[in-house]
Amino acid sequence: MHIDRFEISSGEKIAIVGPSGSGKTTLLDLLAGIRSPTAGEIIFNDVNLHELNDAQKRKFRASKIGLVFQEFELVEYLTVNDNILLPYLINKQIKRPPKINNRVVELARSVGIEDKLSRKPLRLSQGEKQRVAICRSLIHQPDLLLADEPTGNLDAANKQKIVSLLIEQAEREQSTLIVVTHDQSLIDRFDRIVDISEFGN
Amino acid sequence: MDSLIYLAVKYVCHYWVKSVILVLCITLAIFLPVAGTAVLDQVQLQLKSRAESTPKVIGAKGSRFDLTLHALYFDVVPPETIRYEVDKTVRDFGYGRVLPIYRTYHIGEDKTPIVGITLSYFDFRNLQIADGDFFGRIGHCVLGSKVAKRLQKSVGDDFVSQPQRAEDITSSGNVKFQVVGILSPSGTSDDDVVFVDIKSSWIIDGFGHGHEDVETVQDRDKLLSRDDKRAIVNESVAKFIEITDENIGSFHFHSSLSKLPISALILDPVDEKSATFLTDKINEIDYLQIVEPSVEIEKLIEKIFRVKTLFNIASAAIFIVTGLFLVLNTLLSIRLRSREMITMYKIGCGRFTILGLFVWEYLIVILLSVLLALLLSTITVEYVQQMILQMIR
Repeated sequence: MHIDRFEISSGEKIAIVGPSGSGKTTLLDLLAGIRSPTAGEIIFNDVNLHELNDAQKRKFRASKIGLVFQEFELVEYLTVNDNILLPYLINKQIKRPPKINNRVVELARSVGIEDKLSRKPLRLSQGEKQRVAICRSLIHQPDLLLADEPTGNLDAANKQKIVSLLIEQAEREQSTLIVVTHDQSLIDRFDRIVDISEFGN
Repeated sequence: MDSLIYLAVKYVCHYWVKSVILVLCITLAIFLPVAGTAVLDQVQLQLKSRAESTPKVIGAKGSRFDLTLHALYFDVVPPETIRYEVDKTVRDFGYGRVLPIYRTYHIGEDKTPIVGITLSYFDFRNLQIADGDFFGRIGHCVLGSKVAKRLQKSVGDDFVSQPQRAEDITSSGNVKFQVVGILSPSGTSDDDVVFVDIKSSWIIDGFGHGHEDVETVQDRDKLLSRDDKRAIVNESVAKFIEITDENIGSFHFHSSLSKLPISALILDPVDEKSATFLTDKINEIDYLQIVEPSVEIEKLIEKIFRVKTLFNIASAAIFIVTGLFLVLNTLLSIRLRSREMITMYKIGCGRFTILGLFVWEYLIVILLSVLLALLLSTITVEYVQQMILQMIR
């Protein structure tokens, strides 16, 4: 994948589209600092990710980035409450705010799962699982929310709801939102649509 | 660190079936060698200490091992008895303290042995009275601490001895005894015995008895003949089955005490030299043998050590198999949880933190296993130790 220049403004909501294998997920990994570019650089709020070591990149991800996955990737043995809190449970680099439990309830309420906080993921519907994943991605108030095909495992009704939720939550949290999607019916909800195949490989 | 423990606990609890299986496997791998070694060490210690506190034992010729076990634990009855006169013979040698033992009938369903001794035995074994007193006459008995507890007998209670064998019809067998003392626990086989005076044991065995005064018998059905010297009565004269202060005078033996049986003599020699002289003297008597319990028990311990070696090999095999099982479980777990780990990494978790989570999960399982193994070992050691000692006897 070759990108000459790709700028994203703070608070922007972008849909990334493109055929399978065109590098959509790779682009998200690069933006999150999970992968490093073979050449060039990624600058996030004046921070050059290329200059960060592995620990700094993890801290950057833990504090600045929220991730939503196609398969939800919830931890089966934890309750919804603990899944939402997971970034704080596994990252020593980010400090847990004093009233974090209130925030968990507030986030859960905003996506309509406040009555499911004590449940385990196995007892949730697909739509509910993705809502939990969205809450988890937002718990630490990230600057950038990256969602990789978040509606890929959902039915038509849930697709619209989840995209609406993502956009609403990103606006509420003043986060920049980048969503990778195949679904053409969802892309008109975003500020900008980027076809990755136009970057050229 | 706290969060990792929290996550690990959540994992262990959620997959509780897997955790229980792991805990049981590790528990078994720890429990077998720990409990096995503890049991065998305890058995060895008990055997040794009892043997070392019993310098020499004299008995009828036959199995040296049976004689040793009989003198130490009273469980095995030697096939042959010796006459009480040996007691006097050995005493006359003047080489040390002589303590006769005569194992006779038993009481209770668990066949607690009744052992005839002299009062010196209590002093020799340093046995203390917890309640009551030592026996002062025939018909009294002193109970070992475990017997008293098991039979729920206390000072003032009584019990009736039972014949050893159903076909043992020649002896009186059923004699009523009064409990006059309970021994303090000694942690030895003395806790499991009913002690009576050696004369009482002969009365149980039918060598002595008490009955109504034949001089006063007038009933023609009972009196067979009477002259100036003696009266001859038949079996219908009332025999006493209980020895009381009132009838004790009527108890008598129809033969010389020196001819009555004893099953062993414990000898506590004055010194090594006396022990050597005594050994030589006893070896000259063709129907007697003298054994040194510590030597006989050492032979047994050698056999136990062989068993222990086999046991250690089996334990090591179980340990290795459990280890391999844990490795397999870890590999499968890593594979099954790869997505969970990748997700954690993507949201900012370090590799060492993920490793730490695994380590904590195993530590919790291992900790539970160790606690369970120790608990089981503690419970098992006492029980199995007694079982092995019973088997040896």
